[in-house]
Amino acid sequence: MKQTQTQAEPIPFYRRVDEALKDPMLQKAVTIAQDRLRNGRIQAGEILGNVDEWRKRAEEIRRHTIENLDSYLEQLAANVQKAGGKVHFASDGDEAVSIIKTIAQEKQARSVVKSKSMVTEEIGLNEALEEMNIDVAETDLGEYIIQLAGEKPSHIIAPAIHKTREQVAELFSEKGKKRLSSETPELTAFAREQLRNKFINADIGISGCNFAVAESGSVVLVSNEGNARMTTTLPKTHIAVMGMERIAPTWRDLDVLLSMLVRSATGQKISVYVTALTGPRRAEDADGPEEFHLVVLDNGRSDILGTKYQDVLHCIRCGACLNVCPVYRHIGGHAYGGVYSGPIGAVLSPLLDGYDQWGELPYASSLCGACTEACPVRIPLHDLLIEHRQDMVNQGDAPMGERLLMKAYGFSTSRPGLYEKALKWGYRAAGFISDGDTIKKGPGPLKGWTDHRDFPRPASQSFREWWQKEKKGDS
Amino acid sequence: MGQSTDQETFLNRIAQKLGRERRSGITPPEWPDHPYQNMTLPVTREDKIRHFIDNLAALDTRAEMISENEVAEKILDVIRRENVRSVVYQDDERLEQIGLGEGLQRAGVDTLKWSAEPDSKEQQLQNVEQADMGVTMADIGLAETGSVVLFNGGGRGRVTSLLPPIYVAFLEADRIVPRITQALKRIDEMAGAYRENGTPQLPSCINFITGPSRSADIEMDLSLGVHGPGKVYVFILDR
Repeated sequence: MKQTQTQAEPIPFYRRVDEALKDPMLQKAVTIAQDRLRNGRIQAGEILGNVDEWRKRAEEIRRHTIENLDSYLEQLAANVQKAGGKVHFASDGDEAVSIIKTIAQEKQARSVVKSKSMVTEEIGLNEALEEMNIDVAETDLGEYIIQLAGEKPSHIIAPAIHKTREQVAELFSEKGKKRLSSETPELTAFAREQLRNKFINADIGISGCNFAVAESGSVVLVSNEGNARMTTTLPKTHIAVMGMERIAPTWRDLDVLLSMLVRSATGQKISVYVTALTGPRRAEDADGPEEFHLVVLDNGRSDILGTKYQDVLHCIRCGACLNVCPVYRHIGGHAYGGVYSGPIGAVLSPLLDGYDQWGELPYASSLCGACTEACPVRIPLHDLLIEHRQDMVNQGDAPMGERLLMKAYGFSTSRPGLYEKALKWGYRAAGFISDGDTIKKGPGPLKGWTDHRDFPRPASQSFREWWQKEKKGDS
Repeated sequence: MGQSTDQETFLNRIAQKLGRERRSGITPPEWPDHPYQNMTLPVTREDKIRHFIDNLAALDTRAEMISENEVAEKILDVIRRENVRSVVYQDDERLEQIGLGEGLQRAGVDTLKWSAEPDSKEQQLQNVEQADMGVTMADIGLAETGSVVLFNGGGRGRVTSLLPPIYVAFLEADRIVPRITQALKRIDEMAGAYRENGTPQLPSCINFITGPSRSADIEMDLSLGVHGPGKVYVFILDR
């Protein structure tokens, strides 16, 4: 099954971008969130003193884990079973949904509580459960807000950053059938009360998995609100859904990965809660779930193994790349269309679902490299975006103009004389279509580019010319 | 159960995609050094305690060092300040030793001691949900972050530190370690070991708790007590 899209009726990428660019509230909200989360990460890194050594170690651990993924998944499964849990392997989203639906049927479940999980968004779990007339409640405050609004997360870490407090107050007032102010404490108290009832009455709790520790079969969850603890403690059945790559071999490895995850995500030194669950409640426990299920999901991930994109499986879903991305800053998360937004989404979505659906995403980048620099596990994100562009050109998936330009560029750059001429003619020719120093409506192959962004008019003097003159000292 | 994929098929596909034979029983590498070795971390007992207190203060949470005979007086302070009427606490020998039960009785609040084998688990859960304050002992403290670590299980239920709006932890000063590294090393040592009945040595639930429940999901504006306790107090026992 494919990644679920934001809308039932797919809206073209360029229209999503246009809509985002016309929304001043969104621009403001994204900017504030980005700045705060990014500055937090930088400060938290400074406290570490040697953040690059941490990043290198985190990368080494992730690389070793993915290179030996079959072995560690086997160990994880064995240890979950020893602790009394059940493990299910799902090749794709449909299988994962079917496994969870079967458990829900067996338990005759009527209500489910969920703590924030990107992977369940990926497989469209909520919609599937709602079709069975099961009440599904998202319990992370941000997720609860967007669920009431009937929307999708716009940020991995802060899913509702695009909503203003007035919009939240309106949603909550409608839900509670009483007028609420837009003050944060009042809104928070309302959500706490509503969701507390959901937690107590839910038959099943469904969580994601930040890391699964292979050596003990433990699922580790981080949360600031405590909803992950509630979800995994109160309902009689707990189902954790994990992307198959989210393994830490040992608790010592978890030390590095956890330190990097939380600092990179929010700039905290540690999240308010870190919860490690090893199987269901034991015979001597009076609380905790009676049953524990772990669903391990492939859904296109194994196709990335052994390719030049393999490093993308090192991702620990911190969102740091979103918080530094100039494109994300302008268009926000929804414009990306899929579950995963920002640079990581632009690399991952085409790999999971193909270029037909997500071919525009690798172009939603200025290739400035800020994402690569911010990544706590050193995924070369902007290099992978270029790889995507090349692959699309090679496979003929790129727009005609793009293919011609790439070919022409390759031809002329390999012949310096011709390249010089092309640059000069470019400047002159551009005089006809440019508006001062920018080109807003390009002809032919340039059109695809300038439909949605302005292109600077080529310089009157090329760098090579300037450099030659500079060397001679007559500039 | 559902249409799941057979484990071997799933794992063999990974091996095949990685372009090699299937692997099993890989030993995790011993990484030569740890990046935290270059961090400035507290070493002495006094420094560790001071860091622990300062780091919690940065989260608007009060941690203070008290002696054992101050327990009743300190808990009464919190009860008065927060207008607490009902308290749930863990069935934990260490809490008995410091005289918590007596202290609570003298304060005149309704008390409930968590039981591993209550008459009705549902009723016990409801009672905890109604309580104003939960009290536990902590097993480890982390100086770098001001975290308390709880090994839940048996008489030490998970919900005592979760459902009531106020949470109080007692922590022995000597149990404070520099950072999470030392706590995870200890868990790492327990991880592979099993008890006589074949169940793992690791408890079914371990919680690291650092200050009050918080969210910034509404316009990045901080709010406390979203789902977990909005107020946390830590008393460090000088013994």
